[in-house]
Amino acid sequence: MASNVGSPLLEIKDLELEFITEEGIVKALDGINITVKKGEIHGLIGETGCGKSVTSLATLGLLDNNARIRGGEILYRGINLLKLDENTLRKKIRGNEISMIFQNPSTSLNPVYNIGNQVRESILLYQTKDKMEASRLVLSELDRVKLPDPEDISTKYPHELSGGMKQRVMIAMMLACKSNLLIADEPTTALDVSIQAQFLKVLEELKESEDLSILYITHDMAVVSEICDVVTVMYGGQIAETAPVDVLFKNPSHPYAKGLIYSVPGVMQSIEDFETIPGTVPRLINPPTGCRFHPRCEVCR
Amino acid sequence: MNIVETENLKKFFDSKKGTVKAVNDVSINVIEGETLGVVGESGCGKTTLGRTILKLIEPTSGKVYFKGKDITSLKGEKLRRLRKDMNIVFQDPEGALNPQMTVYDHLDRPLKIHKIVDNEDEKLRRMIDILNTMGLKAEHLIRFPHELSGGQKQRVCIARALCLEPDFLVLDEPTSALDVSVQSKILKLLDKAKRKFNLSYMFISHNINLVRAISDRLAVMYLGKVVEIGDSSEIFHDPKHPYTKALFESVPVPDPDKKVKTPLTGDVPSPVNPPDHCAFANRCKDMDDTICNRENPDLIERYGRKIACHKYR
Repeated sequence: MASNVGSPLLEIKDLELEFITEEGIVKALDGINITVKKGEIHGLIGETGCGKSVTSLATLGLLDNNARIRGGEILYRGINLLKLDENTLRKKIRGNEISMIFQNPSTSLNPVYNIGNQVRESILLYQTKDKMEASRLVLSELDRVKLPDPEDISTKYPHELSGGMKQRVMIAMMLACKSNLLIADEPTTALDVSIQAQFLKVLEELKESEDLSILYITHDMAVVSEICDVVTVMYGGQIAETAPVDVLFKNPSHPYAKGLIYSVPGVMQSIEDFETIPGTVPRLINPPTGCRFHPRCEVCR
Repeated sequence: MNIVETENLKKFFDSKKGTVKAVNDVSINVIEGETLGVVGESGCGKTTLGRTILKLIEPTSGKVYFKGKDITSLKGEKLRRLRKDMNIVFQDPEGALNPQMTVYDHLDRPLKIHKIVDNEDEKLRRMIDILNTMGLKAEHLIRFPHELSGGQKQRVCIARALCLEPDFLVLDEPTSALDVSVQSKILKLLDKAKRKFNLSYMFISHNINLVRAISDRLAVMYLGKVVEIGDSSEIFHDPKHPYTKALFESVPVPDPDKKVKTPLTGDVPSPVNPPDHCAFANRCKDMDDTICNRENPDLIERYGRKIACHKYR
């Protein structure tokens, strides 16, 4: 799996996305460009309305009916996902090539099947048809995400597991699907600090051993600095800045990225030092023209 | 002077699985004029503690003192009158505001109930003053909640809590539902309000980096008990209780050069039927089988703070 590390796996190019709503057209994405390379954990950060979640949903064709792609393409290994039909997306892309995990793993796990059954389903689809071999692989995938006592876990039902364990089961399922790209949308937001630390360690280890590529969506800057290699900052449906993680934290260029970094507790040690960005995030029905941050930007004014 | 003090405070809930000992013998104090940060993971009891202190929940046993007076058994009209001196701001501003009431209505109600001002002009002046303190304008008085952003809604909630000029506020995750840039604004406003109105805060949060930036003293809770309490910067600089140490090591810091450790394995324990000995014993690196699995450690003074750990007995 060590080949092609560093080559582009996912390329979002000039993507424009709108939502048709009763109040008007919401211009959710205004020509965005993001590249996730093989073996890279790419953080996608931004605040409410920046478009980070819809970007991931657009990638997997999971947007609501009122969404319209107005331009651009989403290339996965060179294939434009936006041109694929639903059947191909479902059979070849979702789960198999690209997996997605969300904030609340309970909504992704079937409450009436035990864990072993659910992981086995993915293995039988993507790894082997042999049932004995599949059962063995279930235990090995559960072990890979450092779940204690995989045999016991595989007999349990989702409601018997804690949030952190369920989230690790989701990673095990992703591994079982042999996905190449994981899109994680706020996977640790609902987890306690100590559980989050365990989960992040699992991801870090898998990145080393499997060259896992992850598009990691979050609002938590501390988590970003913990595991991401590269970070893209979004604002109001546009890209503000993309930079390697240490560059972004030590020397942010874009005024919004700067304002964001300097309002994070931990970067700033006391209230007096907190920076604040004047104004509020714009509504995207009639967004500001040009750079959508300009009404709040100290450099511009 | 202690604005708030608890003595062996307990709050238990009955459930099908057993007794949930949410707050399990907590003796804590909030010094006048300070921000006491309260941190801990799920099930530690920090939210229940805040609400029990305010008597939003009735204590099971133990005592609560407010400005030196025993308020544990207060009921009815006497308790209601206390509400103008001690108040709360919740995590979710959406749920705390009535969608059918304007900002004016929200501020008017507590003023009317407590008969603070009967003169309409004076009332309006006070409302506008509080809104301005929170960075809002007079024109916001006629808005409904759905016309406000998340940050603005939370500012209205804080303004509402402040318009009675209380002495003590419990802030229960007041910025957790807000964006980071909005959060920093709200925290600055809370700081400004604290100095302007001579307030004392109990600031409950799961965000350890945040609490570090704003608290004077810190209380760390684990499974219904306080395990360490003292000066905030001293505890952050040199945590003594094994849980506090492990907890701080698990917190990601927004610095790419610093990585978390995972000293805490396993899951956060449940407060249902907790053990009669140190609840942290089964996860503690310094566990001493001769005592840690047999007795609960008392909260005792050591190193200028209080620690509940047999290691320091």
